[in-house]
Amino acid sequence: MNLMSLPSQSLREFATFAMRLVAFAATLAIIGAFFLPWTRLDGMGQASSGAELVALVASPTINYLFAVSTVQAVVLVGCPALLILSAIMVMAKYARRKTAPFATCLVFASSVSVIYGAPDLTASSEMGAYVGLSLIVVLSAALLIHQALIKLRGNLYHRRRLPTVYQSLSILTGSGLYRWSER
Amino acid sequence: MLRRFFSITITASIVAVVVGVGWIAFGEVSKSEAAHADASFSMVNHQTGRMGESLNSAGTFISTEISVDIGRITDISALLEEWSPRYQQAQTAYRKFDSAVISAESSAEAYFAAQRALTEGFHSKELRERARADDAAEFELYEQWRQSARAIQEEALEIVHRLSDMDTTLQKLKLRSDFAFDAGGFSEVPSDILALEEQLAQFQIASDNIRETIASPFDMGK
Repeated sequence: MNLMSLPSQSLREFATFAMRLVAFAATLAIIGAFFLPWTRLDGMGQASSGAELVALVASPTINYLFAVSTVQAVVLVGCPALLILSAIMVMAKYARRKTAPFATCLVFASSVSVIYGAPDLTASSEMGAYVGLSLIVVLSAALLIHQALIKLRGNLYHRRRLPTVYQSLSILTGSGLYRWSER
Repeated sequence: MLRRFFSITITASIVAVVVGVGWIAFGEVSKSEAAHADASFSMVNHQTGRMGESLNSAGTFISTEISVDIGRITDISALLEEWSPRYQQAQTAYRKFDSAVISAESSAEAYFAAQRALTEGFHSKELRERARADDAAEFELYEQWRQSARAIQEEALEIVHRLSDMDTTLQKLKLRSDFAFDAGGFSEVPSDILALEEQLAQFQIASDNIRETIASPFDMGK
């Protein structure tokens, strides 16, 4: 897809601006997914969200979890906390048009850890079982790809190669220029 | 304007996360002792069922009625492939059951302590006595449950010990099958040593001859 074929400069700038907002919305959606069902604890009736997993610290159930497996209990309770802190960091960086590859990797790694890191404590650990965690995995993977494309765009700019691809990436990643002020 | 929108969104998100997690945590803390005890006892029931399945699965190895398919396996590695996952699962199931019983006992203690405190709060002596009788009857039921749970725990532990012995037996067999060496390898002296020994006499004669021809450096030509 050659985004340079868009009819006018204004339209290209608008597309760039829209993509920038979409990227920010993706970071916001990760925070929203924190409150959707993530996984079901073995022996518990209903699926728990990320927020409920963090709140397990205040519940007597935490003693049972630690008695079964300390490592898995730390994964189950610690990873959602790490994930939400990293997600807020990513969102703050995106708001300032900056990338946060390390924090995004942490979000992705934490979500995958919750899926596969506590098999003895969760009843359903398969990918796609619960909407919240699946959404976070998909969104964080998309953000990682987004940041890789931004990096590629930067490399193309410095080496002055493939100008058409560079321009298309500027629009596609939302990292190109537009006239509207953000202040 | 956009920057303000972003900063408001970030602040709102942080507030939502803190309030959301705090609210859920508060809900957990403020749950009654009865709710905690109810959840714990449900967990024990669930884990009892899971443990039964797992122990039965691993128990086919130590049962007198050996499964036909497993009984036909002649290779130790293939047998361990069948055994190891079932053994791990059984061990985990026992650990979970044990932890669930401990957790339930702890919840029950909190529940009965709360009940006793409420009972002692009655001003009417008659009501207090009746409540005490109710508490005692309930505690009796709990004691029966605890005895039953402990009996199952002991029975499960016995099975787990038998499973552990079977695991050790299989591990020893695996170790033995890995340690395959040629026992005949050390029965005779290596051929190179024997060949040189055969030539030793020749070397002895040659060295004697050479010693006769080479004079000592201190020999002054006597």
